[in-house]
Amino acid sequence: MKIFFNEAKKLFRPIIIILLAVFIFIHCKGFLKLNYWPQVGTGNPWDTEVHAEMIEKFGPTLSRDELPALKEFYGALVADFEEEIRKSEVFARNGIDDYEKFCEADNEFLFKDGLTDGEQEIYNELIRYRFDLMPASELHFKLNELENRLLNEIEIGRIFATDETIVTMRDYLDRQNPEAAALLEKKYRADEMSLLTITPQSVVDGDSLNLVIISCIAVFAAVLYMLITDRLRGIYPIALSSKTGRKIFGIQAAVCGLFGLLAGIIVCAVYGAALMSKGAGVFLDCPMDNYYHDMWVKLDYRQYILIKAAAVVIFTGAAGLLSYIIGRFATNYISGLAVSIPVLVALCGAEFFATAHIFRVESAWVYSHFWSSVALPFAITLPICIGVTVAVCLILKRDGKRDIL
Amino acid sequence: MRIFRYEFKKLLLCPFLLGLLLVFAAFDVVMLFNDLSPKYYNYDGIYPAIIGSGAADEGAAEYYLSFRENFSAIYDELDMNEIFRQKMALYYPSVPPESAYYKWAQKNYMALQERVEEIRQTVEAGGDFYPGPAYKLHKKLCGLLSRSLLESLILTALAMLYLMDFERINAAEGLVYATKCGRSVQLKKMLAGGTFSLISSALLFALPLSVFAAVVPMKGLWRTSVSAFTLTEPTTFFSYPFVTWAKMSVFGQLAASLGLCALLVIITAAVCAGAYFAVRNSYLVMLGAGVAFLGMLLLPYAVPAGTMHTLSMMSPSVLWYNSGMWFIEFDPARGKWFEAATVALWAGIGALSAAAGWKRFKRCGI
Repeated sequence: MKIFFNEAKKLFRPIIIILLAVFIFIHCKGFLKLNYWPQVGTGNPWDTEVHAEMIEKFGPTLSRDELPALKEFYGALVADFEEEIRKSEVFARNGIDDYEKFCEADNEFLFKDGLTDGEQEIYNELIRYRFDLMPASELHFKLNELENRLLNEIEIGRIFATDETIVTMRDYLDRQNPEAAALLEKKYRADEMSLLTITPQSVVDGDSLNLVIISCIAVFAAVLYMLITDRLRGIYPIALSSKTGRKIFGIQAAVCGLFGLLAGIIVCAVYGAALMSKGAGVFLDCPMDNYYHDMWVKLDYRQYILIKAAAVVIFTGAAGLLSYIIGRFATNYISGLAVSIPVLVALCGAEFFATAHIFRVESAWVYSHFWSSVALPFAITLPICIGVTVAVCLILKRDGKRDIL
Repeated sequence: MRIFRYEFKKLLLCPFLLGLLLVFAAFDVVMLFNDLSPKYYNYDGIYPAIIGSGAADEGAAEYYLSFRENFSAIYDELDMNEIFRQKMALYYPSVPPESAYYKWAQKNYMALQERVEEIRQTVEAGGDFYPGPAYKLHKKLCGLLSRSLLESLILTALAMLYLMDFERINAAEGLVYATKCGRSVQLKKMLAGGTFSLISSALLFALPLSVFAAVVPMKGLWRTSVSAFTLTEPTTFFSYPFVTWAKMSVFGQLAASLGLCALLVIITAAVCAGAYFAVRNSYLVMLGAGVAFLGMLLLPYAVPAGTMHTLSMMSPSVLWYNSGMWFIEFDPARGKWFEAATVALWAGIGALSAAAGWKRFKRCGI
C-alpha cells in the first residue's frame, strides 16, 4: 500500500497541477454549454422556465386527462399578457386590446416592407413587446413555447394522437422502417407526454464530450509526465533488478487506471453539482422520450445523465490505462506527446460516436433500428476497454519475465 | 554546417514525428474529402458553365445562370457603413459612438466603402466562380488552411522541443555544453528545427491542396477576385460578398495566407526555443504552450470592447481561429493591418525570447 501511495503522489506534481488547473478553468469558461443555461437550444431562457412551471403543476409528464388543465394554464398566461397589452398607448390607439389582435398585427407587420409611419409605430411596439419589455416579453416567449411545442404538436397529432389526427402523420410514419414506425406511432398515441424541454438535454449532450476532453487531457498529462520522468531518471533498471521492484509496474498501472476513473468521477460530480445548481433538478424524473427526440429505450433524465457520466468515467479510466501504455514505451517527453495527440483525438472521437445520439431514433441506418442503436455504444466502448486492459496485462506479464539487460 | 545536417537528420529519422506527420496528412485528406463531398457536388458538371466553354450539365448550367441573375445586384445595395452600424450593435453594443475606438473602427469601414465603390466599378465584382451559397468553396479552402496550420504549429513545437531537449534527455549535457563549440550546437538546433518545421508544414499544406486541385477543377478560376459576388457565402446574420482590404484574387489570397502561415510557423519555433531556454523541460514547455494557446484564444471574450480588446485579439491563436478571413473585412475590432501587426508583434516577441534565451544559455553554468 505504501508503494501505491508513493506512486500516486508522483502524479500530483505542483507544476502539472497548476498547468492543469489553468487549462481546466479556461476550457470550462470557454466551452461548456452549461455556461449558457438556460438559453441552450432555443436561445431564450423562458422556454426552460415555462416547462419547469408546468412540471411543478402537472408533474414530469402531462396526461391526456390533464389537457383541460393545460388549456387553463395557457389561458392564464394569455390573460396576463393581455393585461400587459392594455398598458400600451400605441396598441390602445390602434385597437389592439387582446392576444388575438396582437398576433394578427404581428403576422401583418413583422415581415412587411414599406411600412407607413403609423404601421412603423405599431411595428416598433410589437418588437418592444416581443423582445425588450418585461414581463411582456417573458410572457410572449412562454406563450410561443406552449403554442409551438405543445398545442401545435397536439393539433398535428404528434402528441395524444387519435385515429383522426394520426392520419396527418401517416406520410411521415410510412417513410420510416416498420420497427421505427411502430415505435413512433405508439409514442404518438400514448396517453402521457414528457415535459422535458431541449435545454437540459442539449447541455448534457454537448458537455459530456467536453468533460471527456478535460479529464482525458488531465490524465494523459499527469501520467505521461510521471512515467517518462521515471524512465529518464533511470528508475526502470533498478525496479527490474528485484522481485518487489518488478511489482511496482503493476502498482503503477493500477494507479494510472484508478487515477483515470477517479478523475472521471470527480469531473462528473463537480459538473453534476453545477448542473443541479442551475436548476436542472426539476427535470430529473421527466422521460427522455419528448417532442424533441424519440428514444428506443425508456429512460428518464436522471438515468440519461448517469449513462453519460458512466461513459465519461469509463473513457477516462481507459485514458488512464492508455496513457500508461504510451508512457511505458515513450523514450522521451516529445515522443510521448506525439503519440498521445492522435490517440486522445481518437479516444474523444470514440466517446462522441458512442454516446452523442445514444438510444435515439434517427434517420441514419444505425439509429433507425433498435438493436443496432442499442449495440452501438457497447460496440465502441467494449473493444476499447478490453483492448487497453489486455495490452496492460501483456506489458505487465512481460515485465515479470524479461531480462534486466 | 555538419552539425546542422546532423541535427536535421535526427528529426528526419525520428519515427514518431514522421508518424505524426503522416497521421495529420491522412486526417487532412479524409476531412477534405468529407468537406468537398465530390459525391454530392457536381464540380465537373458546373465547371464548363462557369468558364463558359465546354459542355456543362444542363441543370447545373441553368442553376449557375439563375444564381448570377439573382446575385449580380448584390453590390448595388452594399453599404459598409450600414454593416458597420449593425455589427457594432450586434457585437459591441457597449462602445459609445463618441469614443475614439468607435471612430477608429468607423474610419476603417469608410475606407471599406471606398473599396466597395472600386470593386463595383471594375471587373472584380462580376468574376466567375463556383456559386458561394451552394458550394462554399472559399470556406472549404479556409478550413483546409486552418487544419493544416494548427497541425503545423503542433509539429513545429514538437520538433523544436525534441531537438532542444535532446542532450538533457540523453544525459549528455555535461559533455556537449562543456565547450563553446558544444554550446553553439543549441543555435544550430534552432536552425535545424526551424527548417524541419517549414518543410513539414509545406508538406502538410501541399498534400491537401493538391487533393483540392485534383477534385475541384480550378483552371482559369484562381484569378477571380475574392470580392466577386459569386463567392458570397451567407452567414447567420449577414449576406454580402467578401470585401478585401486590397485587390486580391483567390490565388493571391491563398498565396498570402500561405506566407502568413510560414511566418506563424517560424514565430512558433522561435517562441518555443525561447521558452525552452527559460524552462529547460520540453514537456512543461509543450503543456504551457498548449494552455497559453487556448488562453489567448479565449482572452478576447473576457476583455471588454475597446483598444484592449483589439490588442487581446492580436495573438497567433486568434489569427489561427479566423484563418479563413485574413485580409477580408470581418470584425469591426480588426483594421486593415491587423494580420501584419499581429505577426510583427509576435515576430518581435519570438525573436526577443529566442535571443534572450540564447544569451542566457551561453553564460549559464554547466
